[in-house]
Amino acid sequence: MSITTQSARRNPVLEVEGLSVRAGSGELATMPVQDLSFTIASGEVLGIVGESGSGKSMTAYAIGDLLPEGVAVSAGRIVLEGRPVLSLSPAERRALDGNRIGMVFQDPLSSFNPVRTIGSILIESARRHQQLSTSAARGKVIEALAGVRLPHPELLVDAYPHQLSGGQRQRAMIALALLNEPSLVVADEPTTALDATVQLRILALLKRSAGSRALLLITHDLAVASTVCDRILVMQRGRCVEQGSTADILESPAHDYTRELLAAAHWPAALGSQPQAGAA
Amino acid sequence: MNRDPLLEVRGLSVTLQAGGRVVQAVRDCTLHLYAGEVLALVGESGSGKTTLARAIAGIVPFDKGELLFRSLQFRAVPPAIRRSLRRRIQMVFQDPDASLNPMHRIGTILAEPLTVIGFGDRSAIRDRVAELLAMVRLDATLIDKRPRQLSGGEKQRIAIARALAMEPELLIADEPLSSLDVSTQATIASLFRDLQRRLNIGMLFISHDLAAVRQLADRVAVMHAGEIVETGSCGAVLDTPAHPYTRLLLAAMPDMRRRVLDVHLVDAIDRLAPLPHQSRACHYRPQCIRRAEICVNSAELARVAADCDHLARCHFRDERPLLNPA
Repeated sequence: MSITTQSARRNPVLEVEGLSVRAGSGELATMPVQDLSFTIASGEVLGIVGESGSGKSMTAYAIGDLLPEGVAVSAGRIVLEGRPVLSLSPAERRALDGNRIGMVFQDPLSSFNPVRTIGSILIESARRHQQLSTSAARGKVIEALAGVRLPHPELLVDAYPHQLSGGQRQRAMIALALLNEPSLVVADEPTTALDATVQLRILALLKRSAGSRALLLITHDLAVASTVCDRILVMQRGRCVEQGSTADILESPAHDYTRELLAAAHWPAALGSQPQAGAA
Repeated sequence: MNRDPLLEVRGLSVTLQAGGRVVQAVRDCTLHLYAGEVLALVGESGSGKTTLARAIAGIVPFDKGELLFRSLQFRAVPPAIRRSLRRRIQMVFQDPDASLNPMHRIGTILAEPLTVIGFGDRSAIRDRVAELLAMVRLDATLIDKRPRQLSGGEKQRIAIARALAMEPELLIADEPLSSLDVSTQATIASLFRDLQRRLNIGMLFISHDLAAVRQLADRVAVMHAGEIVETGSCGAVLDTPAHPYTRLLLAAMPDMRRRVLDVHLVDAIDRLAPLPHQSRACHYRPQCIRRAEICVNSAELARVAADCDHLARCHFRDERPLLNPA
């Protein structure tokens, strides 16, 4: 076990080194991400935590090649499974994005094309990346929908996004992200729009599906990050203020900003989980 | 307090038809709301909270039960009175993009309801529009802008200003924070609180975000599978929940001190998901450690303690955990 962990450490799935992202040009240019470095090994869950505007989503978009127009990586390296992705041709990069990186977003209703069935969206992705026949791809998609524990996948495959509940759509989104066996899953605020019970089920699903993959979870919610992440990186105004194991960040935060975030996330306090008086 | 509620809902049921299927989205719901009070309606998506709100606003018809506003039965008053009562109930929706006409300027969007109710001449309307913008803390110069030139938070402020134009006594806000950026959510939540207090408006606040509910609401009603399972003051329901579902919902909130994904809890939630809707039995019986013969008949909403408005749909009245075998 420790040997695999060590070899995983030596060969991280994702390495980000000195990443900077620039928005706009000339005097009006801003730097949403500045000199950011981290790695994620296989089987590891890293949480990037910060407020809106901290640059955490821009980091996810840079990794997934989804930066909006006028925003670009201005410095640094992104290395996925040993390949520096920023130097790939656009065609190579596209093949990589749907294949080795799976993306999950906050609102699957706006991420899915409303006039296409869930099945047709997933089948197209499976066919493009796995060279499958339509019927083989359909079988694979039904399997994937069952894998994220969606009820009646053989019926849901022909449903439209609006016919699913928010939690079901997020499950379908995760099925799409995992469909082509990516080595890295990037989830950007995947449970922010969901209620507590559905959120917990989706987090459990993400954690389980991470398995031997690397999972990058972007969230504003330290409590959510603490539930599933092995390590946490705290961002403020485009920079990393600290990173470390989840226990270290929560128990002995080194930076004032992290302490502020911890203080802001005080609730829930009740329900048999009160801190034990005098606990060591 | 000895006063009549602004809104009373008694045994309300709503049946929806979707794709040839008939779904009872809301079953036998009873709640009340006083003037100047915020009642939060919480529960997972699909629990019926939006349908209940739409029935109260008159957007969808209800097939059973009574709806009283200012102690008047909606169904019993003449249509003209009903229309004027409806005007006193305004809604704010989740997505301001879907509720603001993108072709119109902000000034037109806010003047329109004023014209409809015959508020006054052009200069009176212009003054009132400026007043409404000030109420939601927006600059008066925004009147010449169109919705797409505004941020998400600004658009939601416009939607609130438009609802306030009708001088509502009841504001129904359906997930008004969910489409907003996290930092914007806090400012819009405090705006709601300020306006609601200052104007003494009753507010039905629908939200999946229990932290926002705690910040904003005086009382809470918890919905699950079309029924209200528990209701009471924010403190009573969120700190001393009496119903097994409320306990499950609160236990599901991520907690930094636990820092683990409680697999037993996930399992309990998973098993709770699809509910048999026909049976009279309590839905939570299979997982409840307190279950007894009596639970083959689901409980009515009843007082948790002798002297309070904390009600739960459960036969039992003790503080022991009722769900979660962990």
